[in-house]
Amino acid sequence: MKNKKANILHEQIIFIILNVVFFSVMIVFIYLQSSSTSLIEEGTAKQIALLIDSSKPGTEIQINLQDFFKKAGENEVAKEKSIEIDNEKNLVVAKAGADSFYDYGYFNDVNVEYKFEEDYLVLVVK
Amino acid sequence: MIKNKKAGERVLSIYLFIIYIIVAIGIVSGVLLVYGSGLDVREAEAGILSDRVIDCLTEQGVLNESVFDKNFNLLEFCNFDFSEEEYGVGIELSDFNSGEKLKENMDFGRNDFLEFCGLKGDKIPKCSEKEVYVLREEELSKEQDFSEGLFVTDPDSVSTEQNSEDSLKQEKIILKVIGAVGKVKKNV
Repeated sequence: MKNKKANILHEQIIFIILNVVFFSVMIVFIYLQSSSTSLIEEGTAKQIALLIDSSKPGTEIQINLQDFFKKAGENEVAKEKSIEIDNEKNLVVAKAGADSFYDYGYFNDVNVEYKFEEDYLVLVVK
Repeated sequence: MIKNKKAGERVLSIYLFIIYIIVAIGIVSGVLLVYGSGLDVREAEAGILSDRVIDCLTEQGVLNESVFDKNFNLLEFCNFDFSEEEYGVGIELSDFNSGEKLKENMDFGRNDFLEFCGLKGDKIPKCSEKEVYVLREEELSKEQDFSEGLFVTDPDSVSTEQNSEDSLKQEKIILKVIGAVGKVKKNV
């Protein structure tokens, strides 16, 4: 009788542990997918490109890119090299990984100057 | 009996693992569908394009006369760069009351994108159509005096401001702008 109860207890414990492990793996997978480098690069590049498109000359924009800079820092990408705006080709390039980057074009043919101030990217549209 | 019971439990545990695998496949597929599909911002971009065109062509509700020039070039006038060949703009001007076209429709950039407007699908260009009511002001020279009754042909469509220095005739116009953005590879 005691052995039977002990067996049942062991089975239940193993069952619970397996469930916890399974759902932990699922949660970690979902978290990694949602915070993946490529996704944050794409989101940042498109965000900046759309802001430039909707701006007129003389506009100054400050964008909080704390999460992006943090991700870039984790991948040993310097903040100053994480964002590049190419005025010749009208491209925004976002780089948060050592071996990855994402570029997105904009149609507004303006000259954009940019600088980094702590967690902010400051754009001056001329 | 005990053997059958143990065998029964082993069979049940196999089903349990199968269920785990099915659930795992479902969660992984769902996550990959959501996060793997990319961020499609083309509709917003097309909306911004249309807004910028309207903003460029009008000032305080008055249409810029340059748009009626024969060689009007939107890209130069509004300082746009469509060299990426992923943008298209269509402009239509018509009279507010009669609906009569005031100028032949103008297309700039990839006018083939404009054919996809109204269609549904992910791998086709996205459009934004915007229609606004604007005024067109025309200066009347001093020879065209109010005494000739010029200003009262249709009280609803034309109004004038009497001013001895300069006289303006205002026409109501419908300005329709269609902005289209391709960039399928970057968004889908």
